[in-house]
Amino acid sequence: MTTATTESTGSSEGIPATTSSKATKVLGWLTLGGFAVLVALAFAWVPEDTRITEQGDVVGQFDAVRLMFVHVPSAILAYTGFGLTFLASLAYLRWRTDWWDMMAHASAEIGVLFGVLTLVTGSIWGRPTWQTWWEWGDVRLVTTLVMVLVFIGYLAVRRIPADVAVKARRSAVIALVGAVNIVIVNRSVDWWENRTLHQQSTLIARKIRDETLFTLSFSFAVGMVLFAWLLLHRFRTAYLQSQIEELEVNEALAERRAEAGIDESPGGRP
Amino acid sequence: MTDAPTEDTVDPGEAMDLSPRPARPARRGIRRWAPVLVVAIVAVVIALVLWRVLADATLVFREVDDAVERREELGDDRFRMIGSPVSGSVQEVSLEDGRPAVAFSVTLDGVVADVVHTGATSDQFQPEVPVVIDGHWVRSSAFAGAADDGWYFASDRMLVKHDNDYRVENQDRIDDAEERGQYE
Amino acid sequence: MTHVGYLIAGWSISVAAVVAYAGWVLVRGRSLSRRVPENRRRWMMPDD
Repeated sequence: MTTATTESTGSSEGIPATTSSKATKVLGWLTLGGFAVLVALAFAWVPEDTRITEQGDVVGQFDAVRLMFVHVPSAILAYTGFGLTFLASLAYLRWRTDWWDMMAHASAEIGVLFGVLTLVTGSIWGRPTWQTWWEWGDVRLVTTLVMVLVFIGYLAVRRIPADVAVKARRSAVIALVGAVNIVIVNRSVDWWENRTLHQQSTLIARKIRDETLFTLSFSFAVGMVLFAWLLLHRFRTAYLQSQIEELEVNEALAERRAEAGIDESPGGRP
Repeated sequence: MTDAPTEDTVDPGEAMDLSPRPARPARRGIRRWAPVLVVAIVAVVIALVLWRVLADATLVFREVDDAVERREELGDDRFRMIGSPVSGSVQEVSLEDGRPAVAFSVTLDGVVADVVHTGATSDQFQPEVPVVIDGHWVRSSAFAGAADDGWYFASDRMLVKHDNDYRVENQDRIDDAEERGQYE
Repeated sequence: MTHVGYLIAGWSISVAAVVAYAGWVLVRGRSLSRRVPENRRRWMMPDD
């Protein structure tokens, strides 16, 4: 791809060539600081998960519960990414602006990242807790896998060569269809209670100790800041890509005009 | 295709030469087809996953009371049963062929069933923590447990269904248990 | 502490994946930024 040269480029005038801004810098430092605090809370403050039964047996997940602080926020961020893709796709189909298409693309990519992490960390948690890395009989696992696959397909469809508007419309429709699965994944443990090893909602049932609840909530907050940071950078990357494509078109047009001997300067020959 | 205009022949009214130019080299080979290939693979995998899950009725967990009620109907069919191990019921036993096994009873909604498990047991195999066991009914009183009804469930795979309770109760009793070395 | 191997695997895979993705986005952003005029990437303007 050629470098767009019809307008001034580079960072010689003091504007760094980067997708960073003051906002992303603040979000970035908040993420790093928040993550350090999260590690401290998860490993030094939250006690292991143990209960004692009426018969006096000590039961629980013990220290495996500390995997929840990466697994659950990953799932929340995957939902957020795919949910945002759904909303942005809806907005694109309504207003047909590149802004919404780029937003859908950026959030889908981040959603896939955290969707894959949800599956991987869930598998790592499942081995000591459920006695299996993967369970086909667990409807939440399977629907989550399908959700991630659908959005991997969405990202692949975006890379199939086509007109920009066609590509955007095609992928928006896939996002709308794929988003139906978000609701299914979320509600699956209630709808198919006997087809899942997943527990029903702990938070809604309030069956959680204060330290664990606080740390889990904190992990959601840190995750959201991280999501915003990633989204801003990824969106700007997509924006830059579109700008380069636009500049290349302009450059090609200018070359053709020059070849045709058309003077575009004010007062020049048309 | 029209001839390319020269300086002399350009008509200001139709100045642009819109004739096709040599295109950039198209993306060739794997780069061009990779996205289509990925889409196709994703579609096939989704279809296989759904077929795998929807076609396999044994993936449904039958609760103990349902499994006991349908014993005759189920016969030797393999299925999954979910229930909570009864505290104090777990004991190591030997099968007729000398293989080691774990015998215990599971319960749900007041209905109890005896189980003989020959597969691996989970670290989380604990009383009152629900397990999903994969196997079939056997009419025999050889391993009578808390149910002692002339049947046992022969299982060879065990999964643990952790409940949604993360509360702590009786911390002092937990501390005592820890001191006694009941767990580390 | 119980399940140490699982904890290390779960946390380190998560961190590594996020860092790798973030790094890729930042590097790609810088590379693309160099090819786009300053007036078309306004987020680093002084009044931002």
